[in-house]
Amino acid sequence: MVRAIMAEHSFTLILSGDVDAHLDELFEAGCDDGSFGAVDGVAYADFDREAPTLTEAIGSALAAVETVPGLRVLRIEPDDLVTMSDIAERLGRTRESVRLLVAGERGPGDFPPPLSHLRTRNRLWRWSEVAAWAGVTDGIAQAHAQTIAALNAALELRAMAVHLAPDARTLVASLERSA
Amino acid sequence: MRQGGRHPKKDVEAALEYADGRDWTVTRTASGHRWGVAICGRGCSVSIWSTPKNPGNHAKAIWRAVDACPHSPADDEDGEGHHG
Repeated sequence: MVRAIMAEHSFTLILSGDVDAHLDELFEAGCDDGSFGAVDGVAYADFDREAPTLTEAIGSALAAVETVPGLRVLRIEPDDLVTMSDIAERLGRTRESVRLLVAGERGPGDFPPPLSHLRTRNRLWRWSEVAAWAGVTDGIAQAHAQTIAALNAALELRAMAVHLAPDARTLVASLERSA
Repeated sequence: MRQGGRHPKKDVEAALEYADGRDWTVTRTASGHRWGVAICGRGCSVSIWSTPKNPGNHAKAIWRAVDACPHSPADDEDGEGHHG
């Protein structure tokens, strides 16, 4: 039997439900590779999970969390969203050097625009875009970004399905079939 | 502020000291698998495992929570200051 090559995959699950009341169950369900926290009442789990593929890592973490009654996964956050200091770390540059790249005062210019939080001091970029701009992108990273986008669409559909009117449900189904 | 003892895993303890230095409160609560909790006091919290699967990764998650805290003063915000 060929042993699958394991890699460590990092991602964040945004959760609903009373996580603090169920930490022991989460640990017993194998989520000891997750770190559970909350920001303003929104619970999350940062996972660093070993698995052959990202999809298996996310799938098994999602299933483990949802074995606990009352807990649901709402969304997956990849580290695709990055701050300026994340970019500096990933490119192996100083933050000042990245600031100059972003401002177009150094390098070839045309740095990708931030995805959100433009009018704040915490602008967020898509790492997949920055990496492509910097010439350090790889096909696996792009595939990961696409996988997570599709999984988030599915999670959103799951959350919304119960509220959908019959005609909207029919339209969603036809969109899925036309994929 | 620290309430309770040190974490037995040195990476995790270092992250808790970092949190403490950034005005988070680290409290030993010791129930089940939870060693304690770190809170910023204005809406962020992170549960600390006694025996995380990988203490280094757990420590990194604590650092990340502290660094990403949206309640810290503006001049401490991530990345866009001039302290890089």
